[in-house]
Amino acid sequence: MARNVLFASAQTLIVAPLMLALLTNVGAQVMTSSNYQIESDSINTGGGLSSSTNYQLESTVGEQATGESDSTSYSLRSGYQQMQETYLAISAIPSVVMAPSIPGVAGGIANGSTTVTVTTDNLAGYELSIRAENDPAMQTGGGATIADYVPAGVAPDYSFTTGAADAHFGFSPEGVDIAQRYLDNGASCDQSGGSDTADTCWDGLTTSDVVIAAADTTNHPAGTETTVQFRVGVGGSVAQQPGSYVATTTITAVAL
Amino acid sequence: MMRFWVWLGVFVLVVLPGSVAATTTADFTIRQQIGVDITPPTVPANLTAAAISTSQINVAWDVATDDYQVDGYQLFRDGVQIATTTLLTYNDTSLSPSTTYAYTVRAFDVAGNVSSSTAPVSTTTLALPEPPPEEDSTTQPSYATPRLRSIDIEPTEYTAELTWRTLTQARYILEWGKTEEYELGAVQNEVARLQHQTLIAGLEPGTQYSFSIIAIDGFGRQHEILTDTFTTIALPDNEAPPNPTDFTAAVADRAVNLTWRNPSVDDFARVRVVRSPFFYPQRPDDGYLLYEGVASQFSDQAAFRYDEVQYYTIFAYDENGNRSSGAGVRAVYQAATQQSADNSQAVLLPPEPSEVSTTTIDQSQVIDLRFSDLIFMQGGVDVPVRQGVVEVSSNAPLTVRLNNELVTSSLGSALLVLDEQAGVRSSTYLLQVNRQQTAYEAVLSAIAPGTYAVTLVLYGLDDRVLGLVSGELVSASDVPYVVNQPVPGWLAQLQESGVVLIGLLIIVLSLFLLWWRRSSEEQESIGG
Repeated sequence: MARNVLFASAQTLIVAPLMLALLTNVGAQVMTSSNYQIESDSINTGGGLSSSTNYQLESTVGEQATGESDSTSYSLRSGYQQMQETYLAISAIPSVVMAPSIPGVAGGIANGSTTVTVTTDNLAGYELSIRAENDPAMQTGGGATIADYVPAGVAPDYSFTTGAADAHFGFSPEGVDIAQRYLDNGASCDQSGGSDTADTCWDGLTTSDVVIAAADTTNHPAGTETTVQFRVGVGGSVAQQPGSYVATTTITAVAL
Repeated sequence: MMRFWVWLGVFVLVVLPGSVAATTTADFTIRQQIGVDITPPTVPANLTAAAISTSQINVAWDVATDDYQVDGYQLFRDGVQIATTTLLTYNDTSLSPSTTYAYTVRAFDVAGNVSSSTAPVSTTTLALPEPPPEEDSTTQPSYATPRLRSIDIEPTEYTAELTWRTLTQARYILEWGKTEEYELGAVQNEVARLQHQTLIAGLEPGTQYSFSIIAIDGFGRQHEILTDTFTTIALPDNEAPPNPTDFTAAVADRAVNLTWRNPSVDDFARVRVVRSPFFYPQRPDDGYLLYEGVASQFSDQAAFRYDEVQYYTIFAYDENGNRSSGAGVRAVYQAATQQSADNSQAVLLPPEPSEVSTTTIDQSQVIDLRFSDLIFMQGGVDVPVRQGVVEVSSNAPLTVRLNNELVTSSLGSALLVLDEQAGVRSSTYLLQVNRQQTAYEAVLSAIAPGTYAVTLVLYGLDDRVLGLVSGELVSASDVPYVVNQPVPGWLAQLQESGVVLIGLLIIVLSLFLLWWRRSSEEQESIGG
């Protein structure tokens, strides 16, 4: 008797994944047995209710207008499967034009910023990170570059400091969900339980994702804004090559 | 070992797919200008200008690029800047119709560098629509040969409105009639116009008329520009068709074979035969529907399944849905005749008209009628009843009518029976309230020549007999059949002028003179 139970369990464990793999390729169905249940899968090529002695199959068809639609007042999620998936969205991010133009000889400081809104109904929250396409991030078409900002220590610099011989490009995130690395205690950054003081905790972009904000709960449907400040500093003794420098940047949101 | 692979399978196929988190990304650029930007944007490409209306041209172009940032575009019309925009389109309004405008566009960046201008693109605004030709207010006819441009005819039952246009201003003469002699009327106007309109009244419904339009030019010359016809709208057909004739029932065991002759009218559509065990069905939905169609016989196989007496009524329908009052016949199960004498539980049925006598009439509600109270009509004309006898034509349907005011009690049914005295032919017809609700009437198809005993029996709502009247009807082919219809105009004129009478007198006088002359010649020859 015990042997039969073990055999049945093993058989079930083998069959269930295989059935699942098979059904994943087949299409839409709601399937139940004493061992498993699959809900809310769908395809666009057939539908209806089918049954045999071993299972019942109910499919959906014609889901032509599926996906997400958002406005300032609502968030619409269309489609049969939408009700089962985690919703995660980030707002469109406009290009940033740093101002002012920095004289190539005298040097100076230019600032810019952009804001991104992350919305998710994931109960575990989300994580927002930033990375540059190139190293260093800011380059001209002719190959001239501006170095990425390098903090003095492991933590970001509390203040953006440009020496006479420096020419660099850094960023500083601000918002209610910014990562601990960018929280400060009024003097230094990466402070647990710290605060988000404006225009502080400067870091440099890399080609790897750096987490700038995170939350452990849903924020749907309002979402959460995170503003990223950018700054270019050119020291007075740096003969920075004139030209238009561009940093192509990627912001990534991940549902946890 | 096996358990390991099992759990591995579950992990790969179930756990791993579920662990893939949702991810979304967005790319953007950050631009920084170092030093003086002296590089202008590129020239916008694909400049287009489309005339939308008499006062608007829509201009569009493709995006320009810059090593730093394009800040906007300057748009010029005929060399004059008309707009600065960051968009790629511009709708230029308040322009003049049928006017050509040339557009150029150039881009500029944040440093103020300006691109070269595009090559000019020219477009002409749409022209104003041409005003419709106006009527010549001088009302002077044109001297050109008039021609018909269009015509519209809207007939009703009694009128026809003709509206037509001529290419040039002209007067007209409109003539109409039932023939191409246009004998019924004419109208002539004295004002030259391009559009003409005339209402012809006094027409007959459902009649075709011919008409002619003659246009008169400035010289006074007449030109027949159109001859055509129109037909007035026919009045709705509310006239019930005649009843089928010779409706008979032949009993064959428990079946009844019904035969009849359908009415001979052009718009005959079908008959419906219904059956009831209680009395003659008064309406098409009163009883069991047995047959509907255009046949002239039907075998009711289940006639005596439950009842030993059956009443049948047949109704005729025309194409417009009008139906006849109904013709009836009774069928009795032959074995029932013997049984009924001993069956005290037999159903009490109303007496047949042939069984009715003055003694069976309910004296408390008697309806006192005379045969002359019945109105017989053929062709819309009353046929007189003389000394209890009415002579009718065998060539025309006969309407039998009993005016409402003579019926002093509520009727359940009224049956008119014609029994041919020289034969066995007997027909029963139902009288129904007519459409005007002024009388009970039935329309009988043309009655075969012969002498018939006519009996009208009135039944109350409880099937008691309330009235009985009888007389004699003689149907013959030589009985004059007068159709009550308008006398043609030409005949009326002849009658009024006495031409017919005079002609007859001349013929008679000529014959008399011929006979007198021949008689004189014969006497002279005998004498000679």
